[in-house]
Amino acid sequence: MTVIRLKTHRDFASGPGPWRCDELRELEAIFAAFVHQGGASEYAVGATERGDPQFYVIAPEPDPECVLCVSRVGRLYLVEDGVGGLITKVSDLKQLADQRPNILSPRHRIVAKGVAAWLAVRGSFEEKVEAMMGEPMELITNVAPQLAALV
Amino acid sequence: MTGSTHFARAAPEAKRLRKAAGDWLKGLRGRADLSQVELAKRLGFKYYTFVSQVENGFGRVPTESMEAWALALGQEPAAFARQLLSYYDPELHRLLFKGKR
Repeated sequence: MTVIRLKTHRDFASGPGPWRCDELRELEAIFAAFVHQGGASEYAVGATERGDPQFYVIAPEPDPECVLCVSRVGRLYLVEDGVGGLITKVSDLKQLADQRPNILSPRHRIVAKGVAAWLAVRGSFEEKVEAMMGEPMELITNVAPQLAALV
Repeated sequence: MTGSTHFARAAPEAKRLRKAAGDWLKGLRGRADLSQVELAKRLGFKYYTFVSQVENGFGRVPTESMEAWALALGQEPAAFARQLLSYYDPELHRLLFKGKR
């Protein structure tokens, strides 16, 4: 008998390669929250030499520093600031909203504000939409960036 | 395999300089025959991702660790810091080292 093993979501998340669409939606929602707080103006994506993807959130001019870098390494998502500080690490990007880093510096304060805003937007719309929709999380993931920009 | 980046918008001068710094550091690492992981280990990092972040032009070598980076890359710390300053703060570099390279 031939067994064909289909890749699970976790299998896809464990290897190098570019960001998946669902990951990018989560990351763009985080970015939108930063924009709302005035802590970011743009983002960029890149990769390490091993092919692990990175997502950079960049502060507005005149000081366009990277305020947040999310990297996927194996099954972990590493969240770092622009000077090498590890803010947190999670196994699911959705957990990022629940991780409230110890606020030690202005840079981390911006990160925490962005994450908190993202969580607030998600929570608010989750409550309103859940009663009406069968797949609330999917909807929220799709519309969160636009909604965050409007709040 | 080299790292890669894609800006969502056009990069102004500060970003161009940060990218140039990253390229310069990547070149030094290549000449030292080190991978990003190996350099990160030499610097005592648990993860190597910050090395990539810096080389891609989205992070900066903190002042307090410039000496460690220089030594890890086989460079003389003062010259290394001076070159980085020319990327990170070109105006200060001009004031301090006007006429010098």
